[in-house]
Amino acid sequence: MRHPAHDEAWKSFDRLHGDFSVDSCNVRLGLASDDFNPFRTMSISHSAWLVMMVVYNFPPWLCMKPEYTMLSLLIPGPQSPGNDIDVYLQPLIQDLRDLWEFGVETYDVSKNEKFQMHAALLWTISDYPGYVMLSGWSTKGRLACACCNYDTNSSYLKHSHKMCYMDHCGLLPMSHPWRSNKSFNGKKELRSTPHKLEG
Amino acid sequence: MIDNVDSRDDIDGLLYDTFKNVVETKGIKEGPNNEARKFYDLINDANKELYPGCESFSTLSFIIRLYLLKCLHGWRNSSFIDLLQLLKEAMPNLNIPESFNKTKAMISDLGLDYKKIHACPQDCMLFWKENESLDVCSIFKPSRWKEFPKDNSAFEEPKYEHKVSAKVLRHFPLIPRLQRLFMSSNTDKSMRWHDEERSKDGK
Repeated sequence: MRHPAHDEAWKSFDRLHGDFSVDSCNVRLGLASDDFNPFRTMSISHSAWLVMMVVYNFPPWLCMKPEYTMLSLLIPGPQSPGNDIDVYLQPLIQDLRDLWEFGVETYDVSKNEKFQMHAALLWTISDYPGYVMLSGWSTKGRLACACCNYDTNSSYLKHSHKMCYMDHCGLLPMSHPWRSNKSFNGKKELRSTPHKLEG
Repeated sequence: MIDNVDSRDDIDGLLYDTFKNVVETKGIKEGPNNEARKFYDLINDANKELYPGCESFSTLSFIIRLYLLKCLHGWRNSSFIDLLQLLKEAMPNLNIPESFNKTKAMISDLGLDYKKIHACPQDCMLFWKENESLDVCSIFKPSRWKEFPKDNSAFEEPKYEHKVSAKVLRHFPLIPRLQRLFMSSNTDKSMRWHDEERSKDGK
């Protein structure tokens, strides 16, 4: 894979929204978010958040360059907004909704004409703590896996007071020989693969 | 010192990259909408030389560099105005805007501006759209403004109180930035790369 366009997510998006993918001028975006310390020092605990937009229409040698990623929001500290990041994302979401539903009249210099530009947000990029804020699903405790959702297999280690996530045999196909192998935890794994979340 | 040299080179590179094609094609093309025309107008205006016979600077590049210095070193607005006035006084044929507001308008016409949106200090809401005029957050009631200790001096209270917002979100609007990508012939073609030039052999 050299460009996200070769990715399954991109292709299935094209299949779902045929009228969007017909026009090559339509913009596909990624949203990246992370926190940073504006004082460049780690001795002061201060967490400001930034939200960047990445344009995936560009070829791979451009789309990840700092010149072509766009800063979209700057959320001030001193504390990270946590789950309330939704409040701060409102102006950006408004922009994205307008772009997706109605489009914006844009002048194209090479064709020398106006067209309606639409845009779609394909995915978000974040680290694991940032994922909590963007998805709203906690990545700690019993149900730490956002993909397995309520079917996360976890157990509490009584003496070390920690959560651990085992039973990965449950992710194998039902007919896999390892499922009946008792050398992992002394049991046969009969639970089905967790339902994959969509949307 | 090295930092300064770097930032100088960056600004020149940015100007060249962004405006190269626009500057080379002379005159306004037919058909652009109002915003596009404003952009090209600005480029044509700012393509003026800084002073008669100047080759290394245009008015725009000079103003951007000056504004960058202001931001980097935290000059006050008033000191910036004084500097502009001094420059104008010493060199009367210098092509620079005479006020800070005009400078700011020039920078914001380039599309490099952002919007400040006040936020509740406890992250409950933005003072935005229909809530823009509120003074107090409607959920937990913390004040929108910073509170300073009141001094009980004998002076009369000022008639107009300058309020400082407790928390400010910076919003860099996405739509004009995307439009700009199509307006510059440098990036315009790359915006269609994913469909037109990408190899589609299924690998």
